[in-house]
Amino acid sequence: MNDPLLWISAISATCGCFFFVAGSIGLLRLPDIYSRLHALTKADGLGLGLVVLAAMLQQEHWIPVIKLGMVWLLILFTGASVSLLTARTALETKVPWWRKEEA
Amino acid sequence: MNFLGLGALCWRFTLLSALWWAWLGHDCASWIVGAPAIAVSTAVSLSLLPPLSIRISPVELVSVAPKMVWRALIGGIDVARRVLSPSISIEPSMLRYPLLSLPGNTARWCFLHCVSLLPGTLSVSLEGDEAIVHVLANQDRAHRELAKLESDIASIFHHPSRHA
Repeated sequence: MNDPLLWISAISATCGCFFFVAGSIGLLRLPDIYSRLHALTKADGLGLGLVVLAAMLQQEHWIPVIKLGMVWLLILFTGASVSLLTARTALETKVPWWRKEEA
Repeated sequence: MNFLGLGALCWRFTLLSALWWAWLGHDCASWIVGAPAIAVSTAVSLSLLPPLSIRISPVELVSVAPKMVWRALIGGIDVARRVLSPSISIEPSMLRYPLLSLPGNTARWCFLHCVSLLPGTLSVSLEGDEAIVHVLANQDRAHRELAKLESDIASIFHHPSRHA
């Protein structure tokens, strides 16, 4: 009976790992601090969400499910905060952003 | 302390306690550190961000949350697709977006936090009434996404959007 849930959980975790890898590839391939933050906040936030969903589906009680949900929300929030502070500091210290014609 | 301040204190104390419980609550001994940490954090929070008189609509929050999850999903797929394509398909630009329908600071910071989850946009700063947003590609689409988000945030904070 639990099999379909486990399958969905496995698929979700695999997709989550894919987005973590994509976020890291973005960090390496993108040209400047601002575009790298795009990859980190969005791809990693989504990757974590999918891994958390996978972990939720394997719980037998509802309390760990709520705890996992809170962990995800907190990490999403801190991720967005840190990204905003990093980008703002970069702009204030006049870090230029990469433009297409420079390529 | 007035009623507003007491309400804010209770809310923040409860929220921080819930977070501690989520990580370490199973271990009773952890509360030896946790309880003072929560008390100090609540005090710091109240001194940095004084109690607010705004009202948040729970009904609107519940109706906006699934939209945000959907946008974050599209945002993640979009950026993953761009960085994995052989020639990275980006055309970055900086955009100034006037936040006309979000007068309160809380609503504005809430907007800035959500912007980074939308497809193709990253909040950089807040200058006066304008949000500075880094756009990975396609300014028109970014503008549409920002307008939708603005009206959603405005509805949560009980300020009907002028764009809506």
